[in-house]
Amino acid sequence: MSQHKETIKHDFEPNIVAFVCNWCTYTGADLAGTSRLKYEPNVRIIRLPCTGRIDYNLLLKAFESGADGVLVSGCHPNDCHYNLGNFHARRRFTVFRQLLDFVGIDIRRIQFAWVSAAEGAKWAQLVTQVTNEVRELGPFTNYKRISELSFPYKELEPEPLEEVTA
Amino acid sequence: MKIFKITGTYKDLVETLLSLDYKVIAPVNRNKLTRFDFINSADEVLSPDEVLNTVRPAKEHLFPMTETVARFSYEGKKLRIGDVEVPEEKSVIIGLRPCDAAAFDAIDKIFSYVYQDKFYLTRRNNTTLISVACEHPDNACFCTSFGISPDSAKGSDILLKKSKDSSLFAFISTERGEDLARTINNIIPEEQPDPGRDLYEAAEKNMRAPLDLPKIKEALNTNFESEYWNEFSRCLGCGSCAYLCPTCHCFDIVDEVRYDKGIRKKNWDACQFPLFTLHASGHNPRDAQNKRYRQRLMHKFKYYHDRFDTHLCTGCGRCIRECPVNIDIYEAAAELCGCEANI
Amino acid sequence: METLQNIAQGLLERGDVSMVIGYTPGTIPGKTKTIFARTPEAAQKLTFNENCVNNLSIYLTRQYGNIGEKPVALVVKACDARTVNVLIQENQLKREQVYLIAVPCNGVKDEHGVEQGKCKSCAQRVPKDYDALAGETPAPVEIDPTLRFKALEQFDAMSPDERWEFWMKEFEKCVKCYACRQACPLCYCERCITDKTTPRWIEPDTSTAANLSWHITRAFHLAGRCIGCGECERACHQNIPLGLLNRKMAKEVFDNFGYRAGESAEAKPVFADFRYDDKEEFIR
Ligand code: SF4
Ligand code: SF4
Ligand code: SF4
Ligand code: SF4
Repeated sequence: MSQHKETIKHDFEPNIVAFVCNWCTYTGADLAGTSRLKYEPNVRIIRLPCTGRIDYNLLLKAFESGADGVLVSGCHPNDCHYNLGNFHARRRFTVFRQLLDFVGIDIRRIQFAWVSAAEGAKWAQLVTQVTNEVRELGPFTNYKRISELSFPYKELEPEPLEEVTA
Repeated sequence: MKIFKITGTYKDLVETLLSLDYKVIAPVNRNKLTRFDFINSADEVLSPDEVLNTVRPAKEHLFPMTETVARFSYEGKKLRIGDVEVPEEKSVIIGLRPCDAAAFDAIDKIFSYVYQDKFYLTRRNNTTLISVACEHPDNACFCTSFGISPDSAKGSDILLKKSKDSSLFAFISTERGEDLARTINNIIPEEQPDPGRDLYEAAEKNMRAPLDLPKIKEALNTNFESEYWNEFSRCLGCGSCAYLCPTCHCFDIVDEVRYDKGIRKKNWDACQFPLFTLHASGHNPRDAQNKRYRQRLMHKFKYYHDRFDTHLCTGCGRCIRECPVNIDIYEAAAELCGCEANI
Repeated sequence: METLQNIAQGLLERGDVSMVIGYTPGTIPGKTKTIFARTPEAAQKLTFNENCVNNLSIYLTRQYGNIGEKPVALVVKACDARTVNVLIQENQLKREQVYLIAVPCNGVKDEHGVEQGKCKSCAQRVPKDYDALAGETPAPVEIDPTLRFKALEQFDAMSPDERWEFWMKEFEKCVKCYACRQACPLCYCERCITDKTTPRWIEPDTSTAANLSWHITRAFHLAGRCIGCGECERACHQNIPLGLLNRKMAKEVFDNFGYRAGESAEAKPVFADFRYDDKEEFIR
């Protein structure tokens, strides 16, 4: 069985944030889990009601917080729990991707998919593929660099700080 | 005031400054924007003939757009707070115009008023200002309204000025200026008689006529509720006037937090923004744009003068050049007191 | 032929409109300023010339409170009228609340004599829809339609990293004054996302990361809505080429959905709409 296979060690493990809709993809991902399908562990799932609710700002915040790749997934067209959310999302992301591309963000780092509640296997395969692709691209240093300049988290050592009790 | 002669050109002087133990800040044109920035070579510096007033004033070097003023971290209920040190670095700003130099004089007052702003003051004490007199003021300049002139030394440690035959002179008014001058070998350490101000007198003639400041203040004292302010409902509230003004100094303080750590940042702000006076209750005492513009005029020509005996404007003309709807502070002030705007 | 002043004077005399919003000479040669003419006498101060760059439709947005019971008359160039269409499409305004005085326009220049980018590719001499025309109907002109997106071509040859480099150098200059937002007639939100604090999506500091968030937001919030009047870029004293971002968005919206902002007041806004068969090659 696949879970007994040796895990391969890589030099770089990307952080991937997946924004998924509650009704299809999240359930699909759940199915992948309950079916014990093995896939890459690099993805952190954030569940939202609908792809129509996935604001582009969430994707930017993910990159700002250090994501190397972002995945957005929801119901197939005509399957949206709210009927039309994914059609609107599709239009917006069509244009949003081009904007990111234009300012120089490699759009291979931001992927979109339709994964239904029944497609546990598709989810497992998708995550593995996206992880491998982003791993290939390496860490998203461009974004990390400007983000660290804005908020130098690592340099903010708490040592010389004076203690006050709240 | 001590007057010395300078050998060589302006560029040679910049060259010498670069060889000293100072960080040198000068007007440059980087990426289609004229501003004061750190330089590494005299070649990148815009000469006084190439630029009158940079779009961005030099104030960002003493009062940065964004600056971390404190940091903190927490673990559960335990909060720890830490200071931020301002580095003591000697720097020199060369190429300021007299209006920009005088502007530092004006804002010194507020940054050392009740609270001593160590961020501003530390930098201020470590910075030497070398200004350059203006031979060609433009149609937005009106420094003469404020007791400044195209060759005024107010606020400058060293003022560079030309005589009629174009020789360069250094007018040194402060100890800080003298200290620096001693280390510059282009400055001949032999006092000279005043070479006169022929070039600058000629320049002054083409400028906007001086404003009647006492009359303006009188009008501001009595016209808070005047219809006159409706004229400024065309103001877009864009804040360009404040952000580009060498004397505007308002800031906002925000905390940025990630996970368990945070930093407190000080960012520029402007009274032209609706949010500037919005109370937590939802009430906004300056709820319309014309009231915000009134505040701008009040602060510059009245409130600051009431408190510090200085006007909060040096007539650099930036707000006039850059306002997208041509609100002209000179005209606004003149017409308020029924004077003709002599532009 | 009726002059601008006569049209305005007539409207104000008859009391058809509460005011005429138009241009009047400014304090510096080459600059013009807005005038809110409320009396027939004030109408005589109206002017139109090649320096009338401003898009006055901004004064129709709610924050200025100019729209009351009576309609407001507005002096419009073709591009300005397109903005009015968007405001109507987005329910900010009703067509009958505004009286459009069209002015024939051959392109406008800023006070330095620089022709505005938008004018180079504009073939529209008068708006499609107006209530009165000040002047003669000008002869139509032919302009190569590919000019509209010409400025974007330079980016096609660049790698993502080169584009990143280009934009970071531009965004680094931003002082976060939001003048670009304030000057935009379509940035009419009562509370901009940049002013929201719970949560704070866009940090107010001027670090490049915070500036990038702002610029992506500005461009994207205007995608499919921006009519390309260029006021944002003109207001930006830091010389950041905001128009390129807007143009890119306009191109994508046009290429993918065949939509051009402000063409008609009746059209459904592009992002309030969709087609079942919208392209989706990028979705896995
Ligand atoms: S108010 Fe205007 S003219 Fe006066 S100092 Fe400020 S920017 Fe210059
Ligand atoms: S006066 Fe001009 S520059 Fe200042 S906020 Fe108003 S529109 Fe902007
Ligand atoms: S892009 Fe320009 S106008 Fe807009 S916030 Fe930045 S500096 Fe201001
Ligand atoms: S984004 Fe700029 S060009 Fe587009 S409508 Fe707004 S101000 Fe005009």
